Amino acid sequence: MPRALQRSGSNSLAALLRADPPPNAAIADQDDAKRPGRRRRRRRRSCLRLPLGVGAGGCRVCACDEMDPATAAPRRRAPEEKDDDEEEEEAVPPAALQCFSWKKGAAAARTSGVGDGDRVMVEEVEAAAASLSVLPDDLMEMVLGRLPLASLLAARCACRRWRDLTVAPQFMRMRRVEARPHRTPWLFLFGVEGDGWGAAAAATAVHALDVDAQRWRRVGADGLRGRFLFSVAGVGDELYVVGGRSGDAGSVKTKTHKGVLVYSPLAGAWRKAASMRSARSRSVLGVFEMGTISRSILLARADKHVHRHANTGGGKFRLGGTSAVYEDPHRLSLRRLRLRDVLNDDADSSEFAATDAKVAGQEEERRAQQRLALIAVGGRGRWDEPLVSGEIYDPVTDKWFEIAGFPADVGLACSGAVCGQMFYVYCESDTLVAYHLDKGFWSVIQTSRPPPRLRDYAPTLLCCSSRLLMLCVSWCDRAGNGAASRRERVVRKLFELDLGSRRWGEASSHPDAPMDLNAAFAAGADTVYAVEMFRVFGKVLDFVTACRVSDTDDHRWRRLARNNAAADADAMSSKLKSMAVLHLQLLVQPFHCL
Amino acid sequence: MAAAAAEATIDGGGKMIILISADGKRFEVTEAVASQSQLISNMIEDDCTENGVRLPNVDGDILTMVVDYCNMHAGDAAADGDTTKASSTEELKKFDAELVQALENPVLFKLILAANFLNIKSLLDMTCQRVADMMSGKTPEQMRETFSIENDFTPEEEAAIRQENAWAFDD
Repeated sequence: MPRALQRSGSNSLAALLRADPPPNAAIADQDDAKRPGRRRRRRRRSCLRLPLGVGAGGCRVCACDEMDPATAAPRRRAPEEKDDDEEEEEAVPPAALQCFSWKKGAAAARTSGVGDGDRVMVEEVEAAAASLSVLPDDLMEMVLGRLPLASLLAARCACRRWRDLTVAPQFMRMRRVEARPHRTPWLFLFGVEGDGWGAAAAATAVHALDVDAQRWRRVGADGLRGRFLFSVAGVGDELYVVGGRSGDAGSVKTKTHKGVLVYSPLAGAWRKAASMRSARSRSVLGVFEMGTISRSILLARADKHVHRHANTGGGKFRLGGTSAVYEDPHRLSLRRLRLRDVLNDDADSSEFAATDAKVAGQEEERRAQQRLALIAVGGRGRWDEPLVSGEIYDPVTDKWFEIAGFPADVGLACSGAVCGQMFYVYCESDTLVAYHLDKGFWSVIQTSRPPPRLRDYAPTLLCCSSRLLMLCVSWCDRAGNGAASRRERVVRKLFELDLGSRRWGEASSHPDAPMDLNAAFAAGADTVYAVEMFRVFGKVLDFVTACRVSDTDDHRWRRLARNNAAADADAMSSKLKSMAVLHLQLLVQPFHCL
Repeated sequence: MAAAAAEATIDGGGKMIILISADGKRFEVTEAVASQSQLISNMIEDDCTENGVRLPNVDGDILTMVVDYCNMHAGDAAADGDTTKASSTEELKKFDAELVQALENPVLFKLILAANFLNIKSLLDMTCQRVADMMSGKTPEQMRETFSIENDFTPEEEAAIRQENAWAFDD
């Protein structure tokens, strides 16, 4: 106790003597409250207010943007008396600033009546260390890295140092790599305000739902002005808005876009990515992990004709050399001809064995550096014609590569999802086709009888917890209890495709009547999210539901965001929605929604 | 030292290690307890713990907490498969929660610094998480107030940065 008091005394004294300008210790406390502004101006670098003691904190303790005080602080506590001298020499600037805090700390301890010496000592140091900026950068990064997104962005606005820390690439990488269970999913809902069709300048609105906080936020989307019928996918922690249309949808003035826009919620900014090779609206997107070699395999495969391997991956045999319907647009290209020469030499089987081994060898590497790529297929082209082509985007090189078009005889692509190394696409003709992402060809997946569905509602294919799911609207099992309208007799159902036996099985049914023809769905890590919006009595109601997909759960749908977004998003049309889930630090499961 | 050694055999944690805080307080802990700190564990490996370990960066009060924490957690590393320990995990969690919950900001920050210096990962994780929990859900202004951070943006800068980021939090 005596020792502690003595130490505190000597320290304050030393500090007082060095205070610049030497403040009168007696009036310091009152004075301090009155002139915080002046002091701030005088000492630009010291920037911390002290919450302890008097309410009006005008006293700065140590510098915010440099770490010297923090590292110096522990040294100041060295036990040996001899250290005091040399340490005082070193710690001149902090000591000078600490005059008030030391005094206050001691005063606070005294007034609070805590008698024992250790306590006094703790409190006086507390005063110096009351600011979070005592933590060095690496520790601060650890703290900031644990914040949920909303708070991270708030912290970024708090001070320069936190901003600098949180926008640094290594910080982003850290957050991306370290998967933590509390990383929260965000739903990004893209909608066209007003009636996209016919409205000359459709305004696109983006709303983000913080799933944990159950709050909708509006995201600025000026870059999307006038666009509709685009597709959205979450790649890593960014949102890709692919293609789409603008202009008056009914007239010839419509323009179909090749362009790709990227929104980074963490940076709060939009940017342009490389344009696709062909213009697409409502293309089917998938996100997958790509190994380094995978790309070259992919490219080589992409140039091969789709039918070559159609019978290896899929169940359906497609006999004959060429498809009667599908005519390869690249059949005359030089590269194709060269490749054909090469490929004619080796038999399919040996080639596949080699590739598999190669792929297996790459498996570790692929895991080590998870590199996400985007695949876009189908959609409608410049003249509203259905497209059969596809392309893959590599964010690292910012380039699109064309891949083989999917079999044209399966109809327009409705929805797609990446599951494992396959990109599954469900087509209008109720056929499931899959693109082998590692080998680079399409095959038709022969399944059991596809789930019965109503044509009015587009089916949505999703991949969640490595399971392939499809949401569609079909008839109720029983026409129950004298259901009044046709709508009440239909129900939205979740089907799962057993990837082994290739049988569709019903997983669950949605409790709500399917009111929204264009309900938006997206899959997070282990949850499927659904947003339905519809107009009742001129008011737009929205329902956000989620269904956890796991072996233990019974796939029950639960309602999210009870205070619904209508207040925020009521201008949003119930038509034309797209949605994406970003686990803003986790890798995003592939998904697509209409 | 003889008494310490005798005690150590009862505890089963090997020999005793003396930790000396910045203000000269001495703590006697078993090797098992102390080696949760990577720093001390390395020192034990290098055999330089004979005359006690001086920790000039850590106050007595903070070290008391750290030693408490290590004592509580000494079990889980050593007796991993032990079923009797299973019941105490709940207790351990409760202890952890209470430890960080009650702390005042400055003590918490010092505990983080100490955990970092001593390299005790679980304690560091826990304390950083605590600060993150305290930060979450706050507006920038509330954060500045809670953690004594001065707003060092110019008004223009602040307006710009808010515009970029404010979509995610309540103003």
